[in-house]
Amino acid sequence: MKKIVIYCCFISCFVFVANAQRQDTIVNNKRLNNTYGLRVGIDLNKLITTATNKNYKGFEINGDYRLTKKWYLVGELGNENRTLREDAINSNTKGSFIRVGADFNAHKNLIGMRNLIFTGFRYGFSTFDQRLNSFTIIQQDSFFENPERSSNLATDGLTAHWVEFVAGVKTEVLNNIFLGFSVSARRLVAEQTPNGFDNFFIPGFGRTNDASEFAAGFSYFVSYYLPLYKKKKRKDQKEIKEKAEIKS
Amino acid sequence: MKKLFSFCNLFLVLLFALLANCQRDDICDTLDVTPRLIIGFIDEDPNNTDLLVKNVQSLAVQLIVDEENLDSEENRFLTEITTNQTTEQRSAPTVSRIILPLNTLSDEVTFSFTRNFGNEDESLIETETLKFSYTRNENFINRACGFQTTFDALEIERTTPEIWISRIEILNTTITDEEDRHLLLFH
Repeated sequence: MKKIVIYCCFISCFVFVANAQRQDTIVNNKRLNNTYGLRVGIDLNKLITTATNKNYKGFEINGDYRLTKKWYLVGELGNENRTLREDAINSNTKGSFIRVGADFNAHKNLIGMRNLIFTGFRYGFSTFDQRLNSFTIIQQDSFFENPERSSNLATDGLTAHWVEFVAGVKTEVLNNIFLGFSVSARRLVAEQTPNGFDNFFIPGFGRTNDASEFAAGFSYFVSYYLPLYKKKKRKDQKEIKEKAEIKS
Repeated sequence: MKKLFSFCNLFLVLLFALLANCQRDDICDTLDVTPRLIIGFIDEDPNNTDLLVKNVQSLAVQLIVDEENLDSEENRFLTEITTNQTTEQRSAPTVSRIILPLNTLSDEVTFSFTRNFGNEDESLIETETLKFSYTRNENFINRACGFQTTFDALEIERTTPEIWISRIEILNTTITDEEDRHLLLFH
């Protein structure tokens, strides 16, 4: 968890720096923020965790497509393989997930910027296998030995559905390259449980909880913007030229 | 305005990271633990129609691992054995009820029951051995506690001839909790 705090600071510094660099008033046609295109990205947190944590293997790619000036259609999909070693339970979950939703950009960009401060929602779905590797039995006294017991309980092909509310930032740090960060609050809507035990982790959702159906998630990612088309090109260009002339 | 936005952004991010760190640690506080066998000792007097309990004097219970040699060190005592400082006499508690843990690694366990344990008059010390056999079921509790074992199809076999326990009555062959006695031994 410590590295998460460090990465948060890192990303936020980028936001500061990126904003500071755009104080110039040079008009660039590409930066009228009227371009509509597809942005695809990859989750860095999952990549780093895969490399550093031997109990985890996963990746996530995301994409967003601009629908209107402020609304974006978003999709995320990925795969996770997580082994949880806890006091009483040692389990493994592997599966894939997909999340679909929309983001609203609440940030009013100055000319020349294409940053986002967004809020949005997602609908998530996952299909996964849940395996119990070993467990302990609660015994009241220590008269008899009580070692960890191995298990072969497993159920494949389980599914789960959830909804989430998301908020985050995407900042253009280099030409067409964005760096982003988001946090999400998730709630399980439907869940299939394995035979003989329970779900401990659901790919795309996170750790499950006995007490509530909620989970929190966060991600930081880098994405690349593929411009597809522009809207209202000529009118904006003329307006900008006029404004530039008046200023000078 | 922009600086404020960025600052708020940074603050929220750090706040969330901090909150995310404070995950609720699941603590095991279930009442569904692996149950133990509860035995009551009853007066064998034919007039005792109400099944009143009768204390067993200095009852020592041993786990029998080595059946050949009952005094072997391997046959650990379940009950607490105290030694009187002055007389150097050993004794066990006098009880009318005892709780036995069952072995969760095996389908059977053998215990010996000795009354008048440590008595000066050795002819009063009487030992009987009972073998308990059962089937085990492992039930999931939750992620913090793990599993519990419950027992079923309890059977009792006398491995020594009848000495002081006159009758064995199983009240419940299924052991899932410690609410009531599962077994009565008459003497």
